Amino acid sequence: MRFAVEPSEGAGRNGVEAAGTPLVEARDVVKHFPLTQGIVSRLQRRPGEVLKAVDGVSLVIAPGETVGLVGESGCGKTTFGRCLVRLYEPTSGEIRFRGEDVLTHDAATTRRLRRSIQMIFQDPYSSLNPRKTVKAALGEVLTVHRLCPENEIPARVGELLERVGLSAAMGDRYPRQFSGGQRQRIGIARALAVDPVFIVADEAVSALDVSIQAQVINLLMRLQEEMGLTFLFIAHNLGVVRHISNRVAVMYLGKIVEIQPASTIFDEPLHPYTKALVRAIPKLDSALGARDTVAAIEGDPPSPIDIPTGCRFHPRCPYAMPICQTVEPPLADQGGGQTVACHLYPGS
Amino acid sequence: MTNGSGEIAPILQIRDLRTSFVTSAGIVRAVDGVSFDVRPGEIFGLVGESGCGKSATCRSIIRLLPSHATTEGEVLLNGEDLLTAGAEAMRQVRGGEISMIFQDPMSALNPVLRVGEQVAEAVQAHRGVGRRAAWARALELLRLVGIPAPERRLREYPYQFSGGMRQRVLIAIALAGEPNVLLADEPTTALDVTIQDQILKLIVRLQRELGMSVILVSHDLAVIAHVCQRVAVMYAGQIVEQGEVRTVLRAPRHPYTMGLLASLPGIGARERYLQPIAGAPPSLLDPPSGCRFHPRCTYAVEQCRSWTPELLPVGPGHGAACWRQDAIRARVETTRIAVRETA
Repeated sequence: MRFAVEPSEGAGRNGVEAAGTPLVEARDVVKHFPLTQGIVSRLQRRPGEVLKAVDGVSLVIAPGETVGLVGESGCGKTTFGRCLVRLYEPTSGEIRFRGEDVLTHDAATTRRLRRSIQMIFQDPYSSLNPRKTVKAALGEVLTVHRLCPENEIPARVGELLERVGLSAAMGDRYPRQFSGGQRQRIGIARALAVDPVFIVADEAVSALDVSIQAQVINLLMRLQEEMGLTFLFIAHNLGVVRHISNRVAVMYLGKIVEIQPASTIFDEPLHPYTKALVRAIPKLDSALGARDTVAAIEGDPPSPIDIPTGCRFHPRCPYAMPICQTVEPPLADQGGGQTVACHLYPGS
Repeated sequence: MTNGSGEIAPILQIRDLRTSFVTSAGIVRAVDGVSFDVRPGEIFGLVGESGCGKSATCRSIIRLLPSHATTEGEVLLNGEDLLTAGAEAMRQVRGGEISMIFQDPMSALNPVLRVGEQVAEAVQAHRGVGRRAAWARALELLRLVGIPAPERRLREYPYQFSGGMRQRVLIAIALAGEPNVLLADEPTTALDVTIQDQILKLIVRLQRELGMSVILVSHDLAVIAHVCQRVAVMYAGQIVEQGEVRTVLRAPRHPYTMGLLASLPGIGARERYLQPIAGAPPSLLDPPSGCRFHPRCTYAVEQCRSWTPELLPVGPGHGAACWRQDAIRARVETTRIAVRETA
């Protein structure tokens, strides 16, 4: 059985468009980082280089759904996640949460939205203040957002710690006194402190050992069930993503190249990049049977400063055709919830 | 190379290896009585979670440890003990007989030296050839490890190389002395999956072409399953299970190995919730008495608190350090029947 939370409002599993009212809608989100120029090129008035981390990403997430976002390092998945929680200001594009503009400049709305949208980071140690007890760190969140009266804070902190599988007594300790798995639980408790609706989990279990990783994955799934949370689960470990997600989006060089239900994407990948990615994962079951002899994908991903023309994957693609060098394929619905941006498929 | 019984004599024999670190908090017994053999031309896997002592085992073999570490036991390379070898002899062994590659390919290269000079330096150190010959050999080595346009790449600096290409350079340096044993400590952990796949395939190809033995250290059971012939599973400084990869991963006989496999998403886990191992690995400053896994073990009984066996033979070439074999077999058998009935 897959992740069984039935999304409350008939959430969609079909491609970009989720059926029913979407919770999060990102349209053409672009985040470019201008690079600092050396003095010589500035004097020569050369045009500045731009790192195109996210280069036009659209994604719709239904309430109660978990969308996995995968791709290799530098593909822009973290940058996109940070745009959603507005840790980065997108260069252009639109992000809506329950129909409301996330990128608004109205302070009161921003404050309200920040409570609804939270983030869990990869490294729980560097995202916690080493000089604050856990109780103080969690209490601060409650105070800043004026979520509960001062005298009720200790009780609420204890409740949060217990919710993530720690004991209230542990609140008096400092981050360094916890193991990696426990610190990640604290990171989760901090995100939960404001009663969020939507959580961006950025490589939340990547730094953990497998036995601990499984504990934290179970915790996230249980919390989702109990609190009706919606997740964008960013990770490079495809096995974890498959386990936790309803749908999976694959990113390559700043663009989404494929979206599919988690139940099918690993067995029927459509995009040549997804195929290569799935093939490259060392799989326990297949390794113990016949050895995979299919050729590996060649070369390294190109630089996001100098993106290839046409389809960004064409220089590494074994199926590349002449059209791939000039025309960038759009995401096209293939039915069955499968969406792909590739000239090999109709509509692209 | 055969001994009396007709078995191939191992190239490397580790006997009761014990490595401890003196720290301000006390003595950390990172490796505590580890024994295994590596045969000529095999890829031997060491797998376990962080802090289980797999890297410390590797570093103990070629004595790449800080001064506050002490190592006891025997590391026999073709019958000679490396732990009692002199400093000069060890210099010849490192990079000559046994080479090592590391997890982080950036910090292992000198950023201000051209890649070619770093490879040629390793060639000169072990082959006693001139600069020109060393440079020519460096070119061959880069070609061997699959770096495109090696003539140009030799003149470039490490920052101009991607992570995967840097790891290839380090493998080239490791091969400069034509070692018989390659120690690969998490060589693909810092790399993306498609690049990891390329590097693992390279290691397998080189091992076959050059007939080396490889010890591959990894936390990833799937990587081990893909590449290795035999594997040792480590927990809290000790080997808890050892055998052919297929046997150990298909029919594990130690509760820790069984727990690790059950924790993996997408393997045993078609269920909604994964089955993690409860608790966390112990501190090596003060490990639990008896079997170190007993506080987290579902099979543990009173006796496990005070006593644990050496690796017990549980099949051909397969050993597990757990004497609850009857209970494990019984439970494996019931699950098998249950699976068959539901199927």
